[in-house]
Amino acid sequence: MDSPQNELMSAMATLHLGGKYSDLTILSGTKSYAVHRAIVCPRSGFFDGACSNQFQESRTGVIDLSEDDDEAVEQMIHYFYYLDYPHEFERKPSPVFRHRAASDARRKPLKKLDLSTIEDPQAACCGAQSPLTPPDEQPDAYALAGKRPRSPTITMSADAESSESEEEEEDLMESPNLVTHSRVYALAEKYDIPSLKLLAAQKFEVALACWFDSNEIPDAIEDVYHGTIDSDRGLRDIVIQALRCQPTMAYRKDVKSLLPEVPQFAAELWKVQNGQPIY
Amino acid sequence: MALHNFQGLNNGDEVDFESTWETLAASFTQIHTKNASLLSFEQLYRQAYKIVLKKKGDELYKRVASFEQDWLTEKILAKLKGLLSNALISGNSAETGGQTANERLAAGDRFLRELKTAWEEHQLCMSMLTDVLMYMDRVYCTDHRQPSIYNTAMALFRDCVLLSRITTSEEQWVTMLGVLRNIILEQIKMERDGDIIDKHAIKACIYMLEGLEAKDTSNGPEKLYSSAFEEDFIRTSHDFYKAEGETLLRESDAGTYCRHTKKRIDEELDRCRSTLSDSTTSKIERVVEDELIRNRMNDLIEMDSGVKHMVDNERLSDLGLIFDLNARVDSKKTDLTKAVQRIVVAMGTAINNAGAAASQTQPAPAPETDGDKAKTTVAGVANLLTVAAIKWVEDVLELKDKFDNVWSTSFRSDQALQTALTRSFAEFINAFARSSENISLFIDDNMKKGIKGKTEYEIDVVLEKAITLLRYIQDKDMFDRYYKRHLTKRLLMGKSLSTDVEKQMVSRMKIELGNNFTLKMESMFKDMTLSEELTAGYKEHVTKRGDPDPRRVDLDIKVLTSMTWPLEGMGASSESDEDARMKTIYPPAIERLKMGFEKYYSEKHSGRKLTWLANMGTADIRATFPKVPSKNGTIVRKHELNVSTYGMIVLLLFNDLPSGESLNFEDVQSRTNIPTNELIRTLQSVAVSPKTRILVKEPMSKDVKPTDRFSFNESFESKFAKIKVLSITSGNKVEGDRERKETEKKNNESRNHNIEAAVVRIMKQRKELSHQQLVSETLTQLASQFKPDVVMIKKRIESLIEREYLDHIDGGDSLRPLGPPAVRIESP
Repeated sequence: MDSPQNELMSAMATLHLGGKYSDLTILSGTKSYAVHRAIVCPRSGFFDGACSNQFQESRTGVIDLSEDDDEAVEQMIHYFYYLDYPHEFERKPSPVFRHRAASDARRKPLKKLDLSTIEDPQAACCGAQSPLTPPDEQPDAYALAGKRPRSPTITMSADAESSESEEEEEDLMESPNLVTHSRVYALAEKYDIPSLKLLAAQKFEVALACWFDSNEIPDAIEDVYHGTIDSDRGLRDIVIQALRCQPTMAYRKDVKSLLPEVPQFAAELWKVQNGQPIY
Repeated sequence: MALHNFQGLNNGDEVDFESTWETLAASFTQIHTKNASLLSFEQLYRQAYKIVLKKKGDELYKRVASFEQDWLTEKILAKLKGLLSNALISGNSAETGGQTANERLAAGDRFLRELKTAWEEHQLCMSMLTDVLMYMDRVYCTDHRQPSIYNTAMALFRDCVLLSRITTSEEQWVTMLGVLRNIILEQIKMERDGDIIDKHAIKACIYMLEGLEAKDTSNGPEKLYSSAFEEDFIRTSHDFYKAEGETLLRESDAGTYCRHTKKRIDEELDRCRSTLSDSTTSKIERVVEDELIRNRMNDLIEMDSGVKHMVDNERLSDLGLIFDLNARVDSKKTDLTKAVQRIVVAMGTAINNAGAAASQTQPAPAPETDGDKAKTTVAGVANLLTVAAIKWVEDVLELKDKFDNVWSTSFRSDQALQTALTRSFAEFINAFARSSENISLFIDDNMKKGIKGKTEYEIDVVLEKAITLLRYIQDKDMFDRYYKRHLTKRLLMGKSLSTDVEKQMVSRMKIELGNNFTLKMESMFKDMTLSEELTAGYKEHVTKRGDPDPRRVDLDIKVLTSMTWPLEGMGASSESDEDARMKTIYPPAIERLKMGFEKYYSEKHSGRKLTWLANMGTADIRATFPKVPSKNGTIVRKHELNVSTYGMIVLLLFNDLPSGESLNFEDVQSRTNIPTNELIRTLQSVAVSPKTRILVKEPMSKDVKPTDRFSFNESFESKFAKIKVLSITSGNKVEGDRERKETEKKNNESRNHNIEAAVVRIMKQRKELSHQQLVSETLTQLASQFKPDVVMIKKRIESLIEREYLDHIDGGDSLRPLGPPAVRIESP
């Protein structure tokens, strides 16, 4: 049987997918996420503040984060439920709670029905992802969710959304995602989620080490230096460290062109090249 | 180019900041006016976040602080000021003019409630603001070591509202805090006087004071509460309770005082819980304890209705209250202990004095006006003395019961007080010279009469009481002497009601005083048992010999081991006792019997010498008196007489005497050899006592003189077939002064032996000891038996040195024992 931890994680995943008991909605761009105050608020000072005071948000139960990068918001919400991002489904999350799956007679035929109807369009993706595993239930869950009002509602059609997410998935796997990490990092800093900040920094560091020649680097550096307050050294130190390991990076044209735009980076690069300490 | 770009960016931010701040400030006003639900938290948060991100945290922080300052001063303070009347500001109830206490109370309440509301709203708004400005707190305040905006805002409340000055007249002002303090103190005073106040409003304001630091520089956790309120509260409470203590002592009795004090303490503790702060509990408790207990304890105890009064009138619950109060401030209960000890000793001394007064009546019987009367008075007085002695014991026991009751009920069975009581009882009991004798007499009385018809449990109680008193006695050897003497008489004269109870008593003493103490008493009981066996054995022996002489005399014998029994005190006390006893001439029949038994006894135990103690024995005689005419014709009058052995000897003399003849005193003495005073007593009992006048004395008088003549009283009459001729000396009575000196002398002699024995024991063990140490160790060793006089010990040591049992070491102060079997010491 599952260990207690697995049981909890599976239940969290189910909550995320099904949106059952959701009492808070997060809007981000075109998307709307049904989340749970009990899960979100204890982890983040921002959400706690928004829900505990007599502001508009606690009255309406809707928090609009459209001002923030919508991809980073999605990763953040994913993190709240899976303690990790991006979407990587190692386990099969059940669309219903474990005990319901076993006991609820009404749900079973429905599930079967769903599986049969959406099997075909997903077969290709599943095969591409991992030929050995049985068809992944994730799209199934999305499809199921699409029919229920309380699950993450997607303004576009279910099919289009699922395929889009699949593309993203592949995208993340094959690209360094440096910009994504730095934006998640900034968001975690803004909304006071320390462990997500740490996780993003770790992912950023690994990605930068593996993809030091990526053409994402200039954008990522600009994001790092503009996304958070100057005194936050987290990602800045990682960038400086990478420059020390890969001095050639600084001579790339696209990096050089950054210098006038990001004066703090220029100053620190100068110090690195002259062998001076940053602080 | 780069520089230009940078500046341009900066300028843009500047504008951005002002407009953003405008939005934020407007929102803050909305928050303060309770319209927050229209605001988007996300928006406000984002705006504040951006300002901080653009490094304008410092500016934002200052703007918020100044916004709050303005708000507090313009809105809150103004509102509160409006509630203050001049009377409230001055804080002086004398200046209230026409304002009644109730109006004042109401005005104060209004102010407190308003302040409470203002504070709570301020806290609420600031917690919302703090959430909006979370990023500023987290990044800016942490990086720049600024207190969080919340704390700053709280300090602003203190500075702008509480510490704001309110001018009362041209040069005088008070702070809002001062007004608040006065209102609270005044309301507390009202509550102490019995009014009902709004505790919740006060509690809320106290919470506020507790939540605020006294100063910004948080050096130490001093709160506004302790610096601005608690000190004054404690001070005014001191004054209040000082005055109240005086009034109470003057106007009420001690019981009321105690109850009131208890109530006050409870009230204050309750007030700390419900109205003030728990941190004040111990301080205010201390104030009430100081003012109402510690400083007043003595006055309270000494009051007319104080401890003495309570003890006299059995006010146990009041005594309990006093005990509780004293215990509260003094774990040793010194004041109460002293007072109780004084009372015990005073009451005990009163009993002693009564006892002494009763014994003083002895010399009182007037010089012999009438001989006959004087005699009976002496006997009566002796009886009275015994009664007085027993009364003394009973009084002491009653006192003991009384204080035991007080101790267990009122003094919560407190250990220290028990010790004190014991010490006081011992003090006055030992101060009374006759205590040992009296206790022994008390036991004697109980053994002879007291325990009759009592259940086992009741007897147990009596015995336990006797033992209790015995514990107090210091000179246990004196008691031992008296007890043995009294026990001897009881045993020999068969006065004891129950041998079982006697044995019980002895075993109790054994537990209490140790084996040595009761060793001799136990062997006395053993002698009694052996004697019974001997008597039975002898009777059988006589029967076997087959001498069916109807005139045979039955013998009931008690064989006593000479060292065990205190025989020296029995009967005659003259030195010639021994000789006289030897020479007593027995009538032939008795002499034969005596010889017979001696022979029987020496067959059983060879090598033992029997000494006959005629003065201790009794005899039953069947006497036939001449016929006298009566209404029913003439009858032969036969009586059975129970007389002392001496009485029997004397009466048998007259058996052989022809009717009508008489013997004078000297005749009787020469024919019997009974010691003079014994003979006098015997003759008194058979010739003078009105009911047992078997002999006629001439001349008829109370006293027996050598020239008196005695003859058989043929016309003796009595309604009873059995007549007990009371011996004048029988029974245990209080000693006369002379006897008493005798006893003390003997006791001192045996103490001397005990001291010497102890000294030698110690020296044998320690070999070498300084004089000082030897004396103190001797004292310790003997403490269980008696409290020896140091002079006495020194004398004994001297005597031992003289007799070469001890020796000074090289003429110094140390002593050592001289070779076996003697021992030596060292002395000054």
